[in-house]
Amino acid sequence: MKKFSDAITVVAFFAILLMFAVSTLFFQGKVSFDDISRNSDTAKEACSEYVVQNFPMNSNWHSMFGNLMGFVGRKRFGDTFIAGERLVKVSDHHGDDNTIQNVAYINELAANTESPIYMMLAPTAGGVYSADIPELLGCGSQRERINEAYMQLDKRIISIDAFYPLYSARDEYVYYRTEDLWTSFGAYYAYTESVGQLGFSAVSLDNYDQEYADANFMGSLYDKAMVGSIKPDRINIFRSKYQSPVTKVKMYGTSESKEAESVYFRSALKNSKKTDIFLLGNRYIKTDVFTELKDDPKLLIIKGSYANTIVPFYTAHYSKITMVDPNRLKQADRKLSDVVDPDDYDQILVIFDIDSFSRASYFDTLT
Amino acid sequence: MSDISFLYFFLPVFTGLYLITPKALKRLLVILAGAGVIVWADPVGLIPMGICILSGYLFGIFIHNFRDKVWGKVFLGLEITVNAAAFLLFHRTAFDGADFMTLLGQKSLIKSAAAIGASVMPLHSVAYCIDVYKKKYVCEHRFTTAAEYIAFFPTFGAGPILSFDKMKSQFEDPKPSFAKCAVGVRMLMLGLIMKLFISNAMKDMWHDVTDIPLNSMPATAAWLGSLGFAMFFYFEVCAFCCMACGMASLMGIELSYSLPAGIHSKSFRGLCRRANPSLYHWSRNYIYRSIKRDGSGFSEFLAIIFSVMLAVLWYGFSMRSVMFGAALIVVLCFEKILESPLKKLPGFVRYIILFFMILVIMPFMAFSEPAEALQYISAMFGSGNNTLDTASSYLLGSYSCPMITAIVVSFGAFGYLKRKKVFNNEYLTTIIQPVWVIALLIICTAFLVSGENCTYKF
Repeated sequence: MKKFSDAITVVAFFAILLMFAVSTLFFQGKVSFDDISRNSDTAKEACSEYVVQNFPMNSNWHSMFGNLMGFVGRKRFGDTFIAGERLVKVSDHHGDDNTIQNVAYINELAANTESPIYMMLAPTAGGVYSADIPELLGCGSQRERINEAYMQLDKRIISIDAFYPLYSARDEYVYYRTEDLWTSFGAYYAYTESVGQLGFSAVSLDNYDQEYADANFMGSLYDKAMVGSIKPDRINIFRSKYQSPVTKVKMYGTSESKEAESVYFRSALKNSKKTDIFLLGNRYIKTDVFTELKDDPKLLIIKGSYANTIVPFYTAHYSKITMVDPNRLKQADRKLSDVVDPDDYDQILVIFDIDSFSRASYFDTLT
Repeated sequence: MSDISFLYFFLPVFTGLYLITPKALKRLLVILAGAGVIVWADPVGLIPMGICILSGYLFGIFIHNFRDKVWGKVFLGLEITVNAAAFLLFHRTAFDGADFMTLLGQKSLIKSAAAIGASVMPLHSVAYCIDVYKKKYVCEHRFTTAAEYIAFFPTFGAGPILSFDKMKSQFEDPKPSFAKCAVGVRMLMLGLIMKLFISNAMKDMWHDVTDIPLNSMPATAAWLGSLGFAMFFYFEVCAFCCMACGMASLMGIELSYSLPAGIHSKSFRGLCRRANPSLYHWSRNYIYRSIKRDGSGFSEFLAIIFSVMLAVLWYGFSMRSVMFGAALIVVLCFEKILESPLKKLPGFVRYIILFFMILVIMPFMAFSEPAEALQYISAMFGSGNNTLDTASSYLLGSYSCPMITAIVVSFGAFGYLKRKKVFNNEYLTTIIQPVWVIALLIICTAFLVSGENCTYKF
């Protein structure tokens, strides 16, 4: 009987291995090796990534792992934490903190231009929901970090407090549950706080029609912690009840460009990164949004990933909004002055979330 | 054994090739597989592989021919020097990326700790030549047998360190069978689940504890962190040794390694023996016994220092290893001096003392800076400025399951079940064995596909 048991064990074990191996190599093909090797440094990394991406029932394995870990009480999956009914990206204590250096670059930008500069450092979900996160994960200090950064700013630069309005509205749907980004509602609260400092009155939400672009969205944080208890997100977009002021959108990459007539790109909903519906995310170095408000001022936004969701609300006040991504500038080995002249704009607004701003090492492109 | 591609591609392909290869070519296949594994990790690792194999084989022959003359000693000295150099230059730890070159403030010869085998091959080579010099056995004239022993790839991760005399007959005449393959599959899965579920979790727990500033570290969290690190330190080696035994068993080769039962020890010496038995026996046989002279307390003291320090440096060349080794030497010396009064204490008191001492000195192995380790130890005794301890409840909530599992396993749960023949019923064994092995395979696959790392992190 023991021999029979041993034979069954060995045969079953290797049969399962071979079945999955053959299926991965010949019957999956979800992601091609060429695509993976383009994003990998070595062939070994590419091979490993190919196997993981094309492994059969990939999402089921992820889900099993997430539920198993959730069952044994684990709440942290790398940099993703399960905070109640949402997933939150926690701060990395072991990474570099470039806040002071980056503030210095912003000060230098302010010194080199006559246009008024505004700065909005937004908290992430980790900062707003820090009460649900253990103190040792360090999200509770975001308010202090934002204030410390603002204290280092040149007196010419006007700081905008995004923490208080978002914290006050934390019981509303201001952050995605499965993505490290604020929702359109969160962006609206930040918009109402910032637009007053920019010299305008906020347009009420009653002037917009709310549209559910996607009601079953699972963001990038869910890929790391596929826990069954987390509900899907919904992506809302707001369209003006009256005619949209946006006339044209032009986007410029390293060697490619794109034109459109709306700030919303529904084609992004077919991809995994659905939040790219807002001005195609971080794909382009520079994006110009033109409106029909010809006599209104022009706004230059130095952006991180949080800016895309808030720009649709600013279109009610400006004739032209230009967004420049300093990360993309760095990757293209270019400077801000290569793509725009800050003095051509009536106002300059720097929008980042505090975590990205602290980690960033590309603000030297602004000087 | 680095990721899912090893489990699902390398393992079945190699096992299949090994089983169909004629006996005369099996050794060559194992050597080529070892070279392939090294090239996959980091091709630079072929250099120490070549050095250790060639020096072991050639110096083994020279030492055998000249062992009654001065030249025998000279060749042995050269062999030790060459392999020590290979070990110093090419062994790099994943924990902090330290090696001998970085300790000297120079650039390391290898890019990352991905190069494997450099911690085991020199030890095999030196052990073989010393045994030949001591006339324990004659030198091996077949190159492939010597090479297979020195560069036996299942041991590349973290051992176990093998003895040539016990392995030679198995290398020359391996006898794969369904029974051995079943043992291999069980050991492989046990090792993998220990690594993925226990060791990785304990490392994550330690990582969370280090997120707390040292000056506000609650005492409970500090003790939990030290326990977590100790478990990670222990199970990392246990898991890879288990997987090595499993791989070897698939080839019909039995490695002498028992399942973890470290906490059974009542003394530090016993703990060192059980924590990493093969490294303990290697350092005892080839360093301690070479230095110790009968009747000389000083030589015994020197022997302890050298054998402990060199064994600890096997885990990495950095200040933390030196500090931990020094702390271990102090504790072992005190244990030796207080041997008689300690033996009179009840067993459970000795367990508590041992447990307490290991947790207190463990921070020296965890921190690169001695000052940080000392600050951590003082936090363990309440020096942290923290009135409200929220961290400990989070740590207990998140990591209690793997921690309890680790403690139960390290108390020798597997061995106890085996000794008591809990599952001795033939019908039960027939049904249960394939089920739990496949269940472990499924769970381990879920871990690996989700990105859990299976590389040796120490």
